[in-house]
Amino acid sequence: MKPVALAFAFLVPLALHAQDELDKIHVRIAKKVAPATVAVDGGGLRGSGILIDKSGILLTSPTAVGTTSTRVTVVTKGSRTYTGKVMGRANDRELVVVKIDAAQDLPFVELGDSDAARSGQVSYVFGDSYDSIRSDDQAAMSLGVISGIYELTQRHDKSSYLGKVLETSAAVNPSQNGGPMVDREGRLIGLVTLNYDDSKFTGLAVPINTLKPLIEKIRKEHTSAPVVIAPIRPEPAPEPRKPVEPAPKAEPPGEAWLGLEVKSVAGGVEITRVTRKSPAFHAGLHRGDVVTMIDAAKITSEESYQKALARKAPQETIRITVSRDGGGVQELTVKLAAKPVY
Amino acid sequence: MRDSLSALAVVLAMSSAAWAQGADQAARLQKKIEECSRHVSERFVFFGGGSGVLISEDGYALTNHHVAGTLQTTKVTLFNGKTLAAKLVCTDMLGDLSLFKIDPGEEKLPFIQMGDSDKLEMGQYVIACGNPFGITQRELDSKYYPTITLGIVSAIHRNQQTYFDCIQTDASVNPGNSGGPLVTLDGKLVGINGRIATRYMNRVNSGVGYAIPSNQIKNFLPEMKTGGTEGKAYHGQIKGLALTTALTDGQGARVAGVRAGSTAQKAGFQTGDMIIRVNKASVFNRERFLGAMGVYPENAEVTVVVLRDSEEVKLPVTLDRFVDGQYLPFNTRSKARGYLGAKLEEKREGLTVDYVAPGSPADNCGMREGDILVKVDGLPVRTAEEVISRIGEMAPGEQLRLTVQRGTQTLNLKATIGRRGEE
Amino acid sequence: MILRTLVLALALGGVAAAQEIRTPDLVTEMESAYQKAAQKAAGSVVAIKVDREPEADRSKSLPIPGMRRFGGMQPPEDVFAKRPVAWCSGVVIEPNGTILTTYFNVSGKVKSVKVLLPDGRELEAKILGYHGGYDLAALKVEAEGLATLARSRVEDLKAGHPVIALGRAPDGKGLTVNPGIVSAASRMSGRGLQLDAKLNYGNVGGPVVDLEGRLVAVSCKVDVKYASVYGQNSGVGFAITHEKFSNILSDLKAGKNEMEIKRPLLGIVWNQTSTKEGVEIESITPGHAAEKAGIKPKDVIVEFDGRKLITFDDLKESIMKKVPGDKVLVKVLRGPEEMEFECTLGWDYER
Repeated sequence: MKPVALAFAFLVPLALHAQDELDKIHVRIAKKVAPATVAVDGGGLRGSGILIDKSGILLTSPTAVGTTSTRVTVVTKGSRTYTGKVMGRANDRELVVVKIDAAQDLPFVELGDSDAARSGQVSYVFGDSYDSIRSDDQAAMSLGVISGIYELTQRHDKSSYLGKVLETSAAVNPSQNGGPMVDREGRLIGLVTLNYDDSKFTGLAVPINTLKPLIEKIRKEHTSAPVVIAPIRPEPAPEPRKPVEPAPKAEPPGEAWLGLEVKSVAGGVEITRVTRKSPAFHAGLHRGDVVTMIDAAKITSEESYQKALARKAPQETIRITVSRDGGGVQELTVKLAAKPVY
Repeated sequence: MRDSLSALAVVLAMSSAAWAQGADQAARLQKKIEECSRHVSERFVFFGGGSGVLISEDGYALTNHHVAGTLQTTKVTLFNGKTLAAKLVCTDMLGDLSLFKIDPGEEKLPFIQMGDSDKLEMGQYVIACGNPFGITQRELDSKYYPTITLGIVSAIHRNQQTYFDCIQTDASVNPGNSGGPLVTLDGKLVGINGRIATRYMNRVNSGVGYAIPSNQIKNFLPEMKTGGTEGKAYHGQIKGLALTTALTDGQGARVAGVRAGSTAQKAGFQTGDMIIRVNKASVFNRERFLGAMGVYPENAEVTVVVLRDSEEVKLPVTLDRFVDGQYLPFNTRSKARGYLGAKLEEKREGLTVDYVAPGSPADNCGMREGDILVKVDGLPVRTAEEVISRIGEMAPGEQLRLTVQRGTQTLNLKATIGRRGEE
Repeated sequence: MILRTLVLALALGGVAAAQEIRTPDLVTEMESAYQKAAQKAAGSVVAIKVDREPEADRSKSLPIPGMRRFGGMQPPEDVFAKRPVAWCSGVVIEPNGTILTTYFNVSGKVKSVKVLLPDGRELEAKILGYHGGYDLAALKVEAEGLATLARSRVEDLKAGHPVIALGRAPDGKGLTVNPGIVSAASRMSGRGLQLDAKLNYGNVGGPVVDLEGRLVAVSCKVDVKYASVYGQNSGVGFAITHEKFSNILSDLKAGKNEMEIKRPLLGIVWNQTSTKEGVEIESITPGHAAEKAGIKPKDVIVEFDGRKLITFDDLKESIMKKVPGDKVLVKVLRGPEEMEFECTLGWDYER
């Protein structure tokens, strides 16, 4: 009888613990990877990095430490600060390999296989999120999946990487570039890049397999001077600078608001939408009305309509002339309001 | 022999049951998430353009100060469609927490239980419940459904200035979520969402939300339920304590000075002490000390542990009322003679007023949290530094013209500079 | 005795070990669920490329209520307020080549539309019809036997339910997979649901599926106007359920273009000051359902479609549950007399 009671006493809490495990299933990855993630800065820039060897070898990005730096400041778990030496770099693939000398073995992650990555696989991103490492001693974690794998065709601002990327639905924020994207075993499958695709603005990582041969080369060949690996293709011509428009004059707060959407038609602009509770709504304007005049200005197109309203201020009264279905022509007085503020 | 066999049989039966159970963990997790979503929705409170949550069956509800803390009374709507009157009981302006009392009449309201925010681990699932962008409308079944989003704990014990000890989550939190509950999958409250960090200047979630932890709320609730001091709750600090701003390599927060006759001195602090703990919270740097202190109200009794000559020394102290709470080295403070009483933060929107000390010159001239300071004495300003040094040059009694932007309005305020008080 | 304890200890230890081995399985289960669902549905997810006349840059004239203007600083140029140049997404709805996507994806002065099918064929597509209020559009390609998705049970949906938003990558090829949960099962007046999966210009118009790969909804409402308020990937996303878009599919295929949602209309104005229980009518709108049925001003509606009415909200909700064209039984009190009328609901545009 007693052994049976023992069995119950042991298994019931175990079963309950298993329930708790569901909520915390990702915690084991946090324990593995967060302590191996570092904050870095150099060359006037800052970002994140990841330790890949217990002796203190870490990976980061030139977008986090600069394209020519030889010394890098590294902050590790425990709020310890080190000055790292750049072992080597390949700027066009956004890789910088750094070595720090710690008094003891450091936590690190294994390299994974990004060629085996598939959309739908769980992916975790760690990094210095708004000073989470620098001030609060934690590499913040975000959860997502590899949401897509494709080739980037556009470089943005400060990124130098063009090529295959792993897209993730995990949150990626400023200062996390150079930091790790890991798989469900906590193995490194990519380094976060600053680049992004216009249609998505999601987090992206350079696949680790692209970087593996470079890391090996740097580790083998480095001496006191960093190994600089040349870009694989000639630097693409810098994108033609878009002509800088002079900044428009700061508009006074509270531009005038009427509450209409219009489209150009013969003889004026036709109202396609009246916003509820707007001045136009209250004045009795309807969908389908064709605005032909505003005050003394003849309205012939969307441009002339916008222009007529552009110089108006809230509380100003305007006369709108509309022609309605059924042949009527009406003149309505509308008191403009201030644009509703969210 | 028979005993062992029967025991073995029981164990085998139970373990195969456990095995079978484990086979469909994803389905179990899904069920947990759905049940938790329903549970927290029923306890949700719609406060105007923001969110809140019921914490007792007789109608106590929490929200952020910036959602409703300046209203003495308001009307709130519950999940079941009822609109009820709510009265402000107490508000914590600094910590951004407000306690309201809803009048439920004869009804017993469903309420959320408090969880233990100190037990949270990075990677743990959490659910945020709120009304982002004011999306919720009355549904065809007459109920008001808040928005449910799922994420994990991204980081804990984060110091985001006046969000002293906050939880960082990647569950989607947007404008309108403020004041709403952050819960663990067992349906217990671990945080009140209130801030987000955003990119591209458009105040939309990018995976970083900050929540006030439930353990801070627990510290404040008893005082707040009695109405605090004229409806206000104050945080605590140790007056007369200065900490070095130099890095300590993760060792703690080093005491740079102790003012004679102050609370710090009476508690036993000495210059050179390395603060390593505040109650149960371990302290590894200055920011963490500020954060660990920030969860306590004035008059709270806390024990600070310092390392002195390699020995741990326990220093119990009763907290003073929070005035500055920065624990800056004394020499940097004595430079500034004038006092305004506004804490300025350089944000992307501009130089933002993050906090206005009650009764201060800033408070008296009408400055409010959220204001963006654009001009001082007619000249444009951009950094907190230049404003602090300007004020520091001034003598108490002098007038200062401040131009602030509040929403779409530009306001001109006149502050009478005060005297910087002793901390 | 020792043997017994040993056996017990071993058995318990074995169970504990089994538990330990089992716990990482949840992540494996999640992954294989996402991947299976994606693989099942991939055959119906298409990429769409539109060639159109250059659009006016609306980024500066938008009200952008979510953004604040401050002391001289301007927000960065067109961060979200510009349509990106890339393939967008759609879903095959019928085997003979009818495809759904968002209205925004095919709006503007369109010169041509190309659809890249999962099997690699690139076909010209025709825009059949669109509905701006739902933000949906139907396209047609000349093809037969295309894969379509089974439909999931919409009644199963509740907040917390896992869903996956699928789309095509910016180069038109790879599948994009964004899992999330249902944030609210009913939004947009019952037309659709809200989800926290990341939606952006690249994947809206694609299908939202459940973990079995069945179609739940089509994602929508990421366009220049919405993106400038809600941004992209904000975790606040919308999708029209298959139940609701089925109602308008035949209209779309028939080439009926709408920009606004039609709501069912009874045709009465409510007397707000009345103290009577039920809904007292102030006036009857000429030409609409109530007038045609014979309901008169001062009548008090006490029952609508079998539902007892206490307040005006009860009536409003009951009308909203209907569809224009529905026949409903309306009971009124005219003085002391109870009368019954059969009304055929008309419509008006939602404003």
